Amino acid sequence: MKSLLSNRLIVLLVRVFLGGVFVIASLDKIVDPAAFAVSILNYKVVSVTPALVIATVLPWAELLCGLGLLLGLYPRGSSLLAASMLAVFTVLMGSALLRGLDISCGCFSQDPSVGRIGGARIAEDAGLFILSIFSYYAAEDTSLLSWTKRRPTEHAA
Amino acid sequence: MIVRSIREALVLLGLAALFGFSYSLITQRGLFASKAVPPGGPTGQIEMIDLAAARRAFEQGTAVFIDSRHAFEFRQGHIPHALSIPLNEFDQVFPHLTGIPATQSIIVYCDGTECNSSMDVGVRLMQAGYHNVRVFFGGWQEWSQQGLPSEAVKP
Repeated sequence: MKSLLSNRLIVLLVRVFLGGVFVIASLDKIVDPAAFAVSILNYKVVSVTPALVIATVLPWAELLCGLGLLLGLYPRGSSLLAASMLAVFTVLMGSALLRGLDISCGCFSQDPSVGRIGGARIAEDAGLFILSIFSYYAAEDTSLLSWTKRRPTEHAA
Repeated sequence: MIVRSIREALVLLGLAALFGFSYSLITQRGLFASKAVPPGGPTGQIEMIDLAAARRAFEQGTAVFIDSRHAFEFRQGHIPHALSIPLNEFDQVFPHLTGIPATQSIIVYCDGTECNSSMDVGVRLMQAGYHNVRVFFGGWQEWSQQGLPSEAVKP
């Protein structure tokens, strides 16, 4: 495991993948926070005002988190935030399934007819959670930016 | 390591709140959304849904149903818990509708595929600030033909 955590290429791939997923997931929500608030309300956990606050802040947290992982700005803080969000999403989806709700997860698209919650969605989030924990413990200075900066030095060496 | 990571995560959350609230204030979307919505809604059109989607929303209780037919048709039978807002009485009835948040999912229906009062009421609801308005295209005819739950107003 230690060799995996210190393998710069693997760490880079994990962070690029995870960062890309978070950036993509944030876009639709930023464009239409009202629709995202409806997706949150469908989980029947919070009322309208908290749902609107979450719908206003969470997409930006996802975007900053994604950019942090991609560019290496606060990579550990971004990984921790990503893991925290994914843990909450997974628990919420599991709870909605247990309560018999057949709703759209609101993960990537706010179209109510796509992305309904289910076992596959929970497994997807759990997989991303594991990747973010991996990213948290991995070498801090590995990102797209550091990679492109480091290459010429390595070649020179 | 953990303390620094938590601090970094909190900084990111703070920035997200700053960006999110600023964006909402500037674009009037989300928390600070304006009540002024262009005709036909932000996307320029109202989403049409079929019987399956309407039924799902009804069973899960995720939407408020609005019946845009004449009041006497509503009294004869309608989708349970639906509110009656006939198009020609919209201005009189709408001000009395309180407690429905702007983000509430609303499904408007009229008699069936050949009426358009549901679309007109939908547009007026969006103009009034409701963001999540859909029209059940098959309307009351399709709903009742399928033997789905209904209720009537006793004389």
